[in-house]
Amino acid sequence: MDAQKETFMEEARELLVKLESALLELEVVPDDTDQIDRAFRALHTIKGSGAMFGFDDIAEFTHDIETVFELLRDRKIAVTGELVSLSLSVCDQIKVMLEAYIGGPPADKDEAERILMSFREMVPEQDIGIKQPEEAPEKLHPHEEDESLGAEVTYRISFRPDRDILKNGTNPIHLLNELRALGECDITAHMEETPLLKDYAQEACYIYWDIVLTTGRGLNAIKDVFIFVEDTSDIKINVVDDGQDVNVSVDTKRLGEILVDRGDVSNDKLQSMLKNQKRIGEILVEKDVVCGGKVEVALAEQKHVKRTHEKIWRAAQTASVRVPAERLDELVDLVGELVTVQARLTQKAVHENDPELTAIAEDVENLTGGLRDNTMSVRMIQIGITFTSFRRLVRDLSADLGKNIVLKTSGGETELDKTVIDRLNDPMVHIIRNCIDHGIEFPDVRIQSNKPEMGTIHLSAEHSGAHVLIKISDDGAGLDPVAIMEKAEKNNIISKEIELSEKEIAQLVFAPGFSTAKEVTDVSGRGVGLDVVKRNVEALRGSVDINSKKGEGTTITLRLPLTLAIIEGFLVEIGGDKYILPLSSVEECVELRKEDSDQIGDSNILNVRGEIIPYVRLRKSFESLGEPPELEHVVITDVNGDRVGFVVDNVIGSYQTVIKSLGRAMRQSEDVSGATILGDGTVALILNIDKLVKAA
Amino acid sequence: MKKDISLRVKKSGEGMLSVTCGLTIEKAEEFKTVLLKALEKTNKLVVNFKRLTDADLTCIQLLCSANRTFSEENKQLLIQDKGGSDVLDKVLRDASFNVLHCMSEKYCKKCLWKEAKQNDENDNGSR
Repeated sequence: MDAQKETFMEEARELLVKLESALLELEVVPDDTDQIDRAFRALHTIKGSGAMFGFDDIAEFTHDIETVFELLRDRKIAVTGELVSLSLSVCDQIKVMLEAYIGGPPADKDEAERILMSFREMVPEQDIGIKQPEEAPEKLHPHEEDESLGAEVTYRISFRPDRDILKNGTNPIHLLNELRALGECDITAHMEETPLLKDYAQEACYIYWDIVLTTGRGLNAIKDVFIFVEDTSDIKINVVDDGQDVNVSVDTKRLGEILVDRGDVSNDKLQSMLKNQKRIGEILVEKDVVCGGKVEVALAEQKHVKRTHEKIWRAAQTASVRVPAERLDELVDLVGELVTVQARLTQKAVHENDPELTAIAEDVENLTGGLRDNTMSVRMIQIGITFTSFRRLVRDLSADLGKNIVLKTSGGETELDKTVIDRLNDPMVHIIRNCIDHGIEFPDVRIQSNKPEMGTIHLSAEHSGAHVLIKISDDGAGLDPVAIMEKAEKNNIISKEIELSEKEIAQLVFAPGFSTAKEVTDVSGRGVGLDVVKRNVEALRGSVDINSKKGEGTTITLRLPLTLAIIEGFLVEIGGDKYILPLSSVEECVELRKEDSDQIGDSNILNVRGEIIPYVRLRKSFESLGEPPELEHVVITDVNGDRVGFVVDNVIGSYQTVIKSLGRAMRQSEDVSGATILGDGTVALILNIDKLVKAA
Repeated sequence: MKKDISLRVKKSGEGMLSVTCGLTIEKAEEFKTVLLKALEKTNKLVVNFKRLTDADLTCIQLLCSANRTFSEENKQLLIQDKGGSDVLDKVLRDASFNVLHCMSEKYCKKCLWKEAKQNDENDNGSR
């Protein structure tokens, strides 16, 4: 598939998300004209761009649906629940049609026909044929966003008000101001019909206007301006320039300039010849073919279009660029390598003790830091788009189950690395399905429990240090600790003798094969879900936590790293080997003398300024050989809200850590989450402190 | 009682028209009458809009009509202190009375507004 087609597919997917979001909004507020416009624009762009890039089936399918949305825009029909549902099935159908182009199963033609028939039935009889299929759907630029219907188009408008317009109380100036509000406007007033004083009727309007307007708001918006005077005034609207064929010859030299450049003609000679040259406008006026005013108006129009083209051209130079994600991944890899090399250079500079080399190393360090931050920021995307995509899931599943559930979101502007967001989708779908199926009760049960009939699922995102916390909360039945214990015992997940806190009981739902649902449903699977969720989140170097109160609801918190590529690490040494702890978790370091260590014995508890802190001996965890030094160090970290120490031989300090995945042999090890290459070329393992604490 | 559209004619035949009210459609008839009177009694009319309080399209149209009529009778119509009235400036701007594109020049010997615009441009250029 060529690059342009790929671009269309990518854009079409984004437009479908926007279309779906607009439709779901319309379901709540059916007369929201902004959302009707959004939906229309998305459909229009899918249709236009589809036709342009050879996705004819999609263009054809979308055509009739666009007609219905045009009627909605014109308020000839109203938004109904049926229309929203049908339009959502349009989204699904287009998705299948798109996937078919990249090897997916072919779209069901009967289903497409059924949808189209239902849409055609919605068109009132008098409007049938209102919009005949065009020979070729309008072509749009591949880079256009959903606002592209709003691609800047230049119109020529002739407005000759009725002579009695002023007497009737309409001020044409207000209409001109409305046009100005639509976009860049050049207006020329014509006064030549103003009579002599003796013939002047004081309440008459003799003035009329020629207007050149560039706007992305479309023809309808212009027509709306004249809606109350269109029957009595003479109004003509024509497209002068559709903005598609921007031709800015800013750098093109004229013939005379080239001749002067080449030395064939002197500049003075050229200028004197040009002075004698008459312009076409002057010739036409001289010959009385056209009056001077008309030439002026035409020149004004030419100037306006040229200015608009220059503006578009300039904007195109600075507009955003769509880059395939793989290229960004490559860039991040290269930056990672650069960070590693820079670390080597810095180390060499320190070793050589050469001021000139040190200065160069510092410059490289600063530049690398800037490049790293910039590259990482390019990969960050807002999680709001993912949140929006779940609205459809909640709508459809709750309807299938006969539950009333609303999805609320907050913190959608929170940014996460693209890879994290991509890999987060499946775990979140699973959790939300669980909320709908097992969490939120049926309306009658909710009413009996004095809860609102409508259940709520709340998705939120917020920053927490180098992590993002994503919380999925519901106000449903909450977890039943007794049922969980019974199930866990029955499935041999725990033995009867074990006593667990309420929080520990809740964590059991993440055990493989655990399910308290009495019946297996199609919605949230067969009890193989939440353990997979946990595994997937941990594969992202994240963690999952659950809090629940019976009868009140459940909150599942996903703690995810901002990025999977480069982190700020804290370099330590154990038995001659180097290890990295995530710097964002490090709170402080304290010394541990041998005599203190001996006194503590095996209790693994430390008294820090009166605070009892448990610690983990990393020498023991990694079975390091040799004797520990006389003076050890305890790195105190925050592990899921608890302060835990890690005993190391030496503390080296903060370190830019380019995360490398572990080889197959090490992948099973839960104590380390990755590795990094140090400046001297040796490898340091990145510690998974959460797992180390649990293992201890 | 002092009129809010008052015409004074000097012995030299030069008239001075002062406007101290709004010139909107409601005043159009009165304004036209005064302009006709001035046409009859003066060979040069200077209009002072410094104390103009409001204006609309009818005001511009009437002045254009008057200018055209004065031109046809080889008389002169001038606006004193052009650009001195914010009210007039605003209505000219809102109506897009772009003097450079005015098609009425062949009817008027001298455009009422063009000079004002050019003066403004010269002023801006010298700043």
